[in-house]
Amino acid sequence: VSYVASDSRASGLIACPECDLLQREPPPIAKGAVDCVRCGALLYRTVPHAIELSLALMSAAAILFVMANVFPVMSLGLQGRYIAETFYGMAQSLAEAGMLSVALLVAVTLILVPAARILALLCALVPLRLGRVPKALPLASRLLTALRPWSMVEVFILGALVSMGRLNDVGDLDLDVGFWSITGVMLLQAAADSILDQRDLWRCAAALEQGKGTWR
Amino acid sequence: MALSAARAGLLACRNCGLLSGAHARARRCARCGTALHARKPNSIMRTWALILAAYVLFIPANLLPVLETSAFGYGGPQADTIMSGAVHLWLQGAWPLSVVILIASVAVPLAKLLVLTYLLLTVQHRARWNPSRRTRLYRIVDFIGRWSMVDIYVGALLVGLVQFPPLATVSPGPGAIAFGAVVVLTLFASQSFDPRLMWDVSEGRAVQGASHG
Repeated sequence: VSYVASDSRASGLIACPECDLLQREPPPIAKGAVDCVRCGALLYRTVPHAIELSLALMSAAAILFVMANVFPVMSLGLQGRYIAETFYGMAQSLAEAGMLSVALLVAVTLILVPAARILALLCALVPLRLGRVPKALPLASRLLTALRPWSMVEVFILGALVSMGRLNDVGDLDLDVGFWSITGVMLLQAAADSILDQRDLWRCAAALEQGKGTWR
Repeated sequence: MALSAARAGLLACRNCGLLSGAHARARRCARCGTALHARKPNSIMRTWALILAAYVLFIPANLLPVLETSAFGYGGPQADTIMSGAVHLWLQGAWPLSVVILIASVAVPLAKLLVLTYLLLTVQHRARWNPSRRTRLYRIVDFIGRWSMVDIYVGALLVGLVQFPPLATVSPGPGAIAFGAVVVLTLFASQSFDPRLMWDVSEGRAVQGASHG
């Protein structure tokens, strides 16, 4: 695997992902974002200690994500009976009502994709932090990009708030551990997304490969 | 003179950004293994196909009931479409919820379809008008599209929680399938559109290997 541009004409250059303008890469900055000079798209972002910070955030997110799937999200009580709802239960009740496609959509966007994103990120970050370039780094990096639009945890939180408004006068509505856990996952994932740039993974891998031992 | 990577004979990896020569080995990114293309393959035709399918399904999504409620404290069973559900909420005084549903389920998908249609037409008619503003428009619809899923999650929560026969039950209606399909199709559509085509046109030169439909 080569971590630098194979074409010598490309060294020191960067192309905008949205308008394809070829531009000289600005000298490394300690902190901040670099935008395309022509269309304003974000080219990259640098946050100090991005690997360590995002590893810490994603480890916490992994624990909370397990809790969010084990415990109910909400429960509704009516005349002494209580129904508690988990993520899996949501998909299951849709499937039982004959809406298999909608059930799959819910399961994929709330359970499978968020889990895969957390796993892919941990598979990349843990070995890098321990000073080793993981073999699965290319795969993890492609997964992270491909799955990003399909993780909808934050949209679910809005959906849960709307449901609360609709169910409040139906019965006794309670938010359970699952709801607070998934809210935590949303916040941690958003923080990690705004800290870690794909470039950090590759820069770290390149530095390790060159045997510097450190990548900063 | 602005020079695009494609015209300089360089391919930018769409996953990791690494630039390779146009004759890169096996046309794959040497760093992350992503297939390299100057522009997203068949971007225009693919996006048209996806948004046309979404336009068609937008009709049943809005005409068929998405939720069927029985004895919801308001008498007999009733089937609600997205619109009638929003109207009921408004009449019950829950207008903030009604506004959220109307924006997320009606305005966002429709705006997304219209904007993508407009952007496709400007590329096909080689419009040179302000690609910077059109790129910003694309960025906005790409960002807001996901929020249409709100209604699917509200439905899923209600169907799971309100199962108290004979007092109150909620079950999903066939409109939910059409609506879910609209959301998925528009998400794929905005991913398959390539904003760089707008800049190619404004630079007055087609990029080899990019289809302009």
